[in-house]
Amino acid sequence: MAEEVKASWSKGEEIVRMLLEKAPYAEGTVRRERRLEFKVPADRIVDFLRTAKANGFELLLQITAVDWLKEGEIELVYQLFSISHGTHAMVKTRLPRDEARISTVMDIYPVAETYERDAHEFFKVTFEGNPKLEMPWILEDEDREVGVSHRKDFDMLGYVKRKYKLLDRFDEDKENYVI
Amino acid sequence: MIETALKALFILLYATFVGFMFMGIIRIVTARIHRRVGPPIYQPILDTIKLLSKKSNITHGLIYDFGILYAVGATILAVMFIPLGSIGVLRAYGDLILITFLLEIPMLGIMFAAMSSGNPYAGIGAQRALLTLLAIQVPLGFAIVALAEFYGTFSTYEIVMAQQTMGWSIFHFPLLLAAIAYDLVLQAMFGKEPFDIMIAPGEISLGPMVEFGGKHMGLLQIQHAIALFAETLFFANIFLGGGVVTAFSSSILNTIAGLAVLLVKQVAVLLIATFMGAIFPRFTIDQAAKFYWKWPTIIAALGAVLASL
Amino acid sequence: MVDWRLYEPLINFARKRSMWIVAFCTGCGGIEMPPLMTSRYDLERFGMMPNPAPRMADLFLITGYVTPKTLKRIIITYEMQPDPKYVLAHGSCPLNGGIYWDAYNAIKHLDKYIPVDVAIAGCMPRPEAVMDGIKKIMDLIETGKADGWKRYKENYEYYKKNQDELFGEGWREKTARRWIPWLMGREKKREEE
Repeated sequence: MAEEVKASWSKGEEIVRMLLEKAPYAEGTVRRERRLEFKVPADRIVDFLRTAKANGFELLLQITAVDWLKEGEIELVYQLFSISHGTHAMVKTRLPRDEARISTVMDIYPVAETYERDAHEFFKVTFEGNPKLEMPWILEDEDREVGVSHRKDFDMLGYVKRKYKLLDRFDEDKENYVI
Repeated sequence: MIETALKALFILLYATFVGFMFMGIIRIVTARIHRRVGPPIYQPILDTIKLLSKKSNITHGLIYDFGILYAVGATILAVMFIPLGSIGVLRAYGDLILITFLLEIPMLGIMFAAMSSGNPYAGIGAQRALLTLLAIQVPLGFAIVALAEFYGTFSTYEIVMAQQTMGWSIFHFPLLLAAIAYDLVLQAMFGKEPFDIMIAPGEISLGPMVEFGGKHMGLLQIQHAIALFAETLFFANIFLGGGVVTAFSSSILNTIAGLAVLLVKQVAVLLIATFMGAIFPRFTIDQAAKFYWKWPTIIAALGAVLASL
Repeated sequence: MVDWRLYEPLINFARKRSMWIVAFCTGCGGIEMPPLMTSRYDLERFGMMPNPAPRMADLFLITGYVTPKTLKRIIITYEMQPDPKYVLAHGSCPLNGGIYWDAYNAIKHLDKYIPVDVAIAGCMPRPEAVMDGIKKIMDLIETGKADGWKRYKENYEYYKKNQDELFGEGWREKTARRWIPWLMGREKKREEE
């Protein structure tokens, strides 16, 4: 089913081919109609986004992060949107977990400043060149000092129990709990 | 002397009570326009009792307390000058201008208190209220001049008496124009939409009122009630013929009938303002100032010119 | 002087029938307020009015979950209200965390931090349930049992201890000064330019 849809959107294939000609270091596929996917090495992300913006991807919608614990990697997803082509594009890049540093894309998409602060606060990704990374964002100061993050090796339930002084009534696996 | 004091006391109590009823009428009528049931008519009295019974745990200095008393005092003084049927305590030549002036003083008192509280919303609200005050002066002045030109006097009492022989003011064309302009001005004096940007609840948290709580707010509610009474009474007197009844032989009956006639006229003025307030959205402050300096001014000036011809 | 206890029934009746609400919606239950206030359920029948200024408000509706960030503002707003003041907690999140029982960012027991007079269970309570809670708080006011503001004064050490445990000592000053370094930095940058 998915294969059929992928094959049927020829305009997407064209866009991918056009982008990959200009950026041969990336790899790109058509997920389905109006969803493109690119995989870019982390050190070329600035070049790739600059190429994408010059070729019709005007908007950066969001930067999200995914924590792949077993592979020891953090995946950043830059969601682009193109008004001229009428399509989304997910630009994915992978960073090592313990040394998550990447260059900022603020000078290409100014809105990236906010999303980079978000990814920095919750996934401890350092964006080099963003001056506002340490500015207060969503977390309160006391949470930030303890190091709350959404990385999977952070013991969130234990932290919640300690912070709110909950009685130890919950099972740790969250499958079987009593309130 | 004692009679005058009794009259003054009666006017004060009557004005406060009827003013609270007016506030209740405004809330009920607005609720019915929204297709709601609305609060009982004595709701403002309950609000005031509750506010007065609250513990005021804060003050912002002498001016903060004094401004409220200043507002209440000015309103009471204005009520004393306006002839209430055949009852009148203070009467002077030229009180037409004096009353117009006294009816605007309370806003200044509230401004003093609000500014001294130091809240930024109160500051913004005070600026807007002062600008509105400035904007309504021009049409108000022209309307008063039209009245004085037409009747050849500045005395409110004589204007009321002249209307008994010549017919109500609004049946003369120049004064009808003046009345329309004055009614638009009343909308801002009541603090109703579309000219209530100075106390906009959603945008600037009630503006000047934001810091008042407890007894200060209770006094302001009383002031608002008396001011509602005074403003509608003034309009009913100078444009709607007042409440002079001479049909009965007993003077007490005449007085009561006069009060009843006045009450009907006041409620009519109030309802017009409420309907306008319930169906219109809000002007921003620059739109309100431009509006006042354009249409009511033109209408009132035309009335003044026609009246002097 | 006047014995004010004589007027207590009248004052209690006025307090009961004229509760002004602080227009501060903390969570998802705020969406239940528009139908309550407008023509469907019309709370103005009971003299209740949403009021943007905390200085003249009596009733504090905690509508839904409370995050620590909101709780700081709730405590400050609660302390700004003049004295007979009532708190109505709304939904199951202020009771025990509700569906946010394991969230780092929602407090679990509201009544450890400010006194709660009436709590409505449900996720989220229908407007009828809210009106039932309001009826309950009216009864409590009339009988003089809605004494959360007195409890807050008497047990201030307890509440203060819990607040300080959650936020750290001196959280008011810290929160107020939180943005100053960044604002000062921007000022400095502008001067350099």
